[in-house]
Amino acid sequence: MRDFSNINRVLDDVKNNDIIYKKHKLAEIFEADPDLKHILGYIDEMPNPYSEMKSPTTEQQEEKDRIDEFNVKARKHNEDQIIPFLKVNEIQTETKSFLMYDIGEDRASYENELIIHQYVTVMCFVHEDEMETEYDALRVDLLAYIVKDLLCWSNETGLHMKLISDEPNITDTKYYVRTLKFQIKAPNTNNFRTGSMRNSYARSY
Amino acid sequence: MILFQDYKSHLLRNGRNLSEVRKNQSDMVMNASFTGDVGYKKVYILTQKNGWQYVDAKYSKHATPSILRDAVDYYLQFRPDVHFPVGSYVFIPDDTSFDLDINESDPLNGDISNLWLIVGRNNSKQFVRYQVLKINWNFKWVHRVGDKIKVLNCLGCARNANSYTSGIWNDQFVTALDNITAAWLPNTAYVYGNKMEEYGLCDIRTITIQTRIMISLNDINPNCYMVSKILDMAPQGVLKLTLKQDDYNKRRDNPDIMVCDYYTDSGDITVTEPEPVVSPDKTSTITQVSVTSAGITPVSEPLVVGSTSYFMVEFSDDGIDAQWRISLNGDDTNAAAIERLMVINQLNDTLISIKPGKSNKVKGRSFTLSVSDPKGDYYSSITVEVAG
Repeated sequence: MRDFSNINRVLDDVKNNDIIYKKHKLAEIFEADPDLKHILGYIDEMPNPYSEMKSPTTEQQEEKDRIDEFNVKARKHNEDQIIPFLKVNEIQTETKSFLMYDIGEDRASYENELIIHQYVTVMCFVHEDEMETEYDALRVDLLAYIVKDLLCWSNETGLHMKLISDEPNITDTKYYVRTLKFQIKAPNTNNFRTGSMRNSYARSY
Repeated sequence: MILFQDYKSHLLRNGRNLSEVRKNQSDMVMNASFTGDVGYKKVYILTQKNGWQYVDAKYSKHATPSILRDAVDYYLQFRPDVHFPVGSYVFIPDDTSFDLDINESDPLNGDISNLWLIVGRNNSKQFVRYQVLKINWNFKWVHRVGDKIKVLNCLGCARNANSYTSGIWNDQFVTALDNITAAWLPNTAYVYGNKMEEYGLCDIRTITIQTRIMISLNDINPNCYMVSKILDMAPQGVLKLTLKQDDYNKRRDNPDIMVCDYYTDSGDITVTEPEPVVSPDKTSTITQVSVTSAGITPVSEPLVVGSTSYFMVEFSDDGIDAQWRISLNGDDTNAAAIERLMVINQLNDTLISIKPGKSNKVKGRSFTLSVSDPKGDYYSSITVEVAG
């Protein structure tokens, strides 16, 4: 019989679940790329030369506060531009670009139940007024290029990620999107750590 | 000797028939008693032929203002047989004073709290009254010619428009703004013709569908709108705009002067540049600096693609509005594209950062970084190199 009184799941151990683990890896890859952030339109925070000043004058204090305020606004602007799901949650009042990603799974074939296909969907989501860049290339194309450069044939998440589609599309509002899909072969297991093909709570034979 | 002709003209003196006689007599009474009305005001009106001029008018209420609807119009009646076109600007003294407190030579650039716009004409058989609406906003937009822009403006009326939505629109992925507003502007080109520039008015024919306009009292998170409908025939002389709310673009819009699309995508100012003026009294010095949390120290090193360098200016006077420019040294057919890669970010009154874009086009290039005030005074420049 199942013993429901003794479920010792650890919810914050990302390695328990393949999708959670791989999304953490993707977040690390995206967050570490300065070009990706640059093309997404991140505002660079400014070092505050007055922050360590012992006894600043009124003017220096004002300047320090002003730079702090600038950096707070920059951080606010930069947050939530790389999103680990396929929806922008906030109401958009500014022109911005986003990178959204998620992972789904589907069986690899009717015969093989032990291996599944995982599909990494990455959406390069760009406001139509943000399309132009100084690089003589559209922002949405540059984002797609960087994402492919980072992920295609990468084994950062285990087996190779293979690009299987890159679809340009429009939305109902003012955004243009390129949806990239990568395929990964993975074992069909509910427990990534053990990798076993059985249920943790089912009776073992 | 009284001739028949004299007798006839005597009889026709007040009109050819009773209708004309009554109209003329009524006009005479109106004219004679004009300044006796409590609504009598001396108004200052801009006319195509004679410029600004004082005329007599009667100001009266037409509809009761209510919080339930948009701002209402008022009546303005001139002396009999005196007419002005719909779309004319007119200053009307308010209840606090019989006189206007305005700069008579250039009234539109001063206090406009008593400025009104003629928006309609009541074509009655006699005592024609005009509808006037209070001016409440200085609409500013950019007119792009080639790669340069001109900032144009027009005083007009920001109106309400009912959109009957929550103000947002959802699609599968994003929630975006969805609101409308309206504006009425004088058709300056139609009303003032070739005198428009002489009177300091901008040509509203440069407003097109998709022109973006900032209408907001909030200069931190301003409301931006995009022209989505233009109606210039009802009535002729007034331009009626429908404006759809648009997203504020940090890169292109300038909330300090309330102008949308002031910068290009790479953050450059493309307003027509003044010629640099070199004056011994008005000088400036540009220094390359390193900005860290430990402080600001002068450095001299080549710029590196993809990383930020800082430059500081010191003016010989305080409070100068620094205008920075960067231009490629030497001839190159792609100069504009290369300069676009040198993205300037103005951090405060005296400090900027430059981040050369990650492109081989800028590697090993030399640029002139210059600064001046908006008029071209306090001009100075230095040469900056990008590492190869």
